[in-house]
Amino acid sequence: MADRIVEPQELSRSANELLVMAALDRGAGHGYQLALDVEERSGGAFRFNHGTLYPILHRLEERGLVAGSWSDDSSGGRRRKSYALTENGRKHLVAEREAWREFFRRFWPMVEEDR
Amino acid sequence: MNEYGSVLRSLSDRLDLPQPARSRVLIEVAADLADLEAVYIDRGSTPEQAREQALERLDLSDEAIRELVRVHGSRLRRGLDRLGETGRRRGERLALVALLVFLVAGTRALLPSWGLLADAGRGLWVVSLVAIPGILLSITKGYALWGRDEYDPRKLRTGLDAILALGGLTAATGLTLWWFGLRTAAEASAQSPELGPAYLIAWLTSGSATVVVSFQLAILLGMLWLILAGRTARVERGEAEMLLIEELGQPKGGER
Repeated sequence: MADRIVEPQELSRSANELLVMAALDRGAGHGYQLALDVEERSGGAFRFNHGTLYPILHRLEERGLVAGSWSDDSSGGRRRKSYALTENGRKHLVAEREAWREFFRRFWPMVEEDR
Repeated sequence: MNEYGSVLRSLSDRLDLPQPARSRVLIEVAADLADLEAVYIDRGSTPEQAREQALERLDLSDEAIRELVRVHGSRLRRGLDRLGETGRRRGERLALVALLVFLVAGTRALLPSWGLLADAGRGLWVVSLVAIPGILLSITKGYALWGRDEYDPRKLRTGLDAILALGGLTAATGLTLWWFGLRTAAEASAQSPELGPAYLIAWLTSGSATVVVSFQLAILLGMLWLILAGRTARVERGEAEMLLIEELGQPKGGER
């Protein structure tokens, strides 16, 4: 597992998926809550709008890494969708974290200034 | 119409997705917009500012829409999309012609070997002539629903009841042929009484086979209609619910 690194052409997609899955690992939530969580924890460095977030969440759901469930708001009767990591999603998250660690372990020596 | 109504309407126009996937995306967006607005109000924004901030976060670009369509479209549709519009139309026509040839050739090949069809004789061709347009129409509707992910209820409803009507007409044709056969046999028996039993046996064999085949085809068309009407009703419910979301911005009940 440690040998796998993130493919350079997949960096953006993989980074976004990892951010969303890591937010879900901290707790299930609605799309907007995940976006706010990522933004606040990163001090505003990573900001998801819905245009980025929904395709990611729905793709992860389609792959079985995330499970979406509908609930009715008891007061207003509004239907809302919340997301949680599945068991496969947790395993995938562990593997992805490892792949990113490996990526940076190999990446930094390539770009750091020679001293 | 509420403050998000126009945004949701515009989004629904851009989302080229079948139901219920389209209404689900819209319900999710509508609920998130309302919740996000509430969060910004809690953080001190005025309702107007909160609404603007929530809308600012929406930003569903064409690329995002394409990705959503890709994720939610059926596998068949994804494959067809790769063919392009011209290739797809050509493929559709070719498939319909191939199907028609298969139906005619298949029936012709089965006729001598399958007792029931052989007994039905010319009656089979007459009831087939009525039933085949219904079968072809069902296939076209099925392809629109599951292959092309069509979601315009008006287009889906057009011609749908004709399938049921053709089913009824097929059964009625079978019964008419049965009666016509009886009348012919009775007239022939009256002219040649010694051949009466033979005429009646011939009528019993071919007439009953025609009736059975016509009823089987009618039941098949009825079942096809049931499946297609059920799916179309589901699409209509989704569309109706979506209109409610666009009008009120408050998704309540309905499709899950």
